[in-house]
Amino acid sequence: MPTKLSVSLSPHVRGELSTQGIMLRVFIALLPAALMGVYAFGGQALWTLILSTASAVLAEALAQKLLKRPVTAFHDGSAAVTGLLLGLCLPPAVPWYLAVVGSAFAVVIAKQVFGGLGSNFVNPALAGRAFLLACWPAAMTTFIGIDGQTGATPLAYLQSPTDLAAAFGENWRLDAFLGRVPGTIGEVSTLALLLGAAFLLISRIIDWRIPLSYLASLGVLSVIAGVELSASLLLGGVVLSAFFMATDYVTSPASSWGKIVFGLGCGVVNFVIRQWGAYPEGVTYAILLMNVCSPLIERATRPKKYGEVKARA
Amino acid sequence: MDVQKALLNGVITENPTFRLVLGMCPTLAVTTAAENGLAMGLATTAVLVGSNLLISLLRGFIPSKVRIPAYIVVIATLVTAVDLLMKAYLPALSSALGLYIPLIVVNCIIFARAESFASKNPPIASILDGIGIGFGFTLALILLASVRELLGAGSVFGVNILGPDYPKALIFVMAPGGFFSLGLLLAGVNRFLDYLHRRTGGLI
Amino acid sequence: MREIANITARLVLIMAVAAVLLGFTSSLTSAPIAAQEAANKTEMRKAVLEGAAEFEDLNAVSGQIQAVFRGKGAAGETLGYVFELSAAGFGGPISMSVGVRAGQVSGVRIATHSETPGLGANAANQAFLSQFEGKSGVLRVIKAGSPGESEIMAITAATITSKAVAGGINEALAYYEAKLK
Repeated sequence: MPTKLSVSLSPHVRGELSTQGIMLRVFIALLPAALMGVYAFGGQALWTLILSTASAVLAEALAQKLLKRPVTAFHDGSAAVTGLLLGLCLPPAVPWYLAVVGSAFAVVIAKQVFGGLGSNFVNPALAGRAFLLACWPAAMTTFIGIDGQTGATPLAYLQSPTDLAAAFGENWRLDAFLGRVPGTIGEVSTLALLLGAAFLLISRIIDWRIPLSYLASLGVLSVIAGVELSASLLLGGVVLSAFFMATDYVTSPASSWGKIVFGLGCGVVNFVIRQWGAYPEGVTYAILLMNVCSPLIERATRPKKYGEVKARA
Repeated sequence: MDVQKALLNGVITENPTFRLVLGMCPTLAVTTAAENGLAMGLATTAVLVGSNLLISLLRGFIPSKVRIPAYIVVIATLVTAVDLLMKAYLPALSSALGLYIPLIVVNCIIFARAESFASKNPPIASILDGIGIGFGFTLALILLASVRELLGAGSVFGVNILGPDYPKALIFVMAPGGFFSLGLLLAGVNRFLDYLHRRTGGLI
Repeated sequence: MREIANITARLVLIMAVAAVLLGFTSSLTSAPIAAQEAANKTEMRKAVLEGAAEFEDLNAVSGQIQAVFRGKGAAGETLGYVFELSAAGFGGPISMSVGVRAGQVSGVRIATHSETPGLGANAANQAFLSQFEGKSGVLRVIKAGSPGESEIMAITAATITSKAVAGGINEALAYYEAKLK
């Protein structure tokens, strides 16, 4: 017999990108926003980001060790991405323990306890953020301005553009786009975020459907409600989350229509929370809620198999 | 059935919180402070002993087919009577525990013990079972409440342990924190009890 | 058929005995309980308007105000007023008592509330409520800085609760200015 034939299970055709490759690209895509955040807020922001990323990786390694699973924390990159994402969602001047505890919670409780990579049912970074918001609400809602003083973010003035202009100057739109307004470390520079997002879209890491439907639905609803379009999209963590959090493979639907429904849902819930909820920012809970709905959406939007016909009643 | 056996059963083998996983609703609601856990545990034990006794005495009379409504009526009557009597004659105690008494009616532990023990055993044994399970419940509540109070307020039984600068993780005195703590404790306690079981060769 | 009759009879008997027992207990305890509740209410009124011995119900209801009492001293003179309000808090109604003496707040107590433990629930502490003592007019809640004459410091991360309590007190003060001066 000249050739040996081997029998194996599917898949038989694999994509080129490994988990590591994907995570590396996402990490790189986040760097512009991270750099802008550090540029705007200085050393404390850098320290927060380092802490959150390192804690996430170490916490995952420890959890995998204790759960007697192979320790992949140091080379598969997913913990590092979760840590960086969480750090970018934090206000710049938070106490060290927020970054550490938040990352540990995100990686251990929201991910490892449920089975590790691929088995989390909500976005771990957002779960970590929600946990921190409930633990230390005061620290999570204290932001510093460019001048270093504590103050409100422009998002607090979402409903009244005139007060916004009064507080942040007539050029607030340009400032928000470039990264000269207060906010969490990662959300300030829309430009930097869009650069990273473009990179991910071009390298086909993320799909355009979720961010587009998310931003579109939020924008349209906000305009209907009388909020200025640029305000609703440029302020707060929407751009960061629409491109980097909502698009997480594990917690969003796989089907194309499913992605659109998911994005629309995120936009609607986000709008409702901003308009009538007790929180100024609705992004965290909007995505978490839609994460939980993902399985249902997937089931409802399952693509037809070739040749599949509906069973006659 | 003696006191020692009843206690061992209630605290370890059939611990209502960590083994039977019963009465989760009042457990989560009440364990925001160790003191509340203790109070609720004691109040529940009192009701449990009373209801076990009554159900045991009536076990010949209650028809099996309608035992569920019958037990509920007995338990609810007992709890309501206790609540009214406390409000009238023990006002200080009532204002301390008052919130918890109505909650006890919906505590599955009472009903489960009526169904699985008191309806099949003589009164004395039923009383002892009530004491044992109630004691186990109280200990479980105190454990959970201490964890939540420590993390969420820095104190245990009101005594500040972690110092004035401890940043209180507020989530632990709220519902989500209750779920996290209970879940992790369930895992931990059962792991420990399994270890005990193996080490004592099946004694515990 | 016979079995159903038997079961029904027993069940009815159990229900009947339970009903009789509860009815008996209720009638036995209704008087002491009512007396206890009245005593609690009087205690709270005395706490917010110190020195008052007797309270006369003015039978006034307006907005969040459920009752207004004239607090009288030992000789029957009017010392001030006590307002019992139900303010709309974050997690539900906040039942509170506000004492007003000569146009100023003489004391505030919170009877019941459903606010978040660790956050809004701290509104029931004297650390927060004592801020209101001595103040009059229309009070504002601020989140940062030093509170001025007509300003109150909100509880950190519990602005809604703080505003609800302040709103109740403002209503009491407004009522006083309008009708009782």
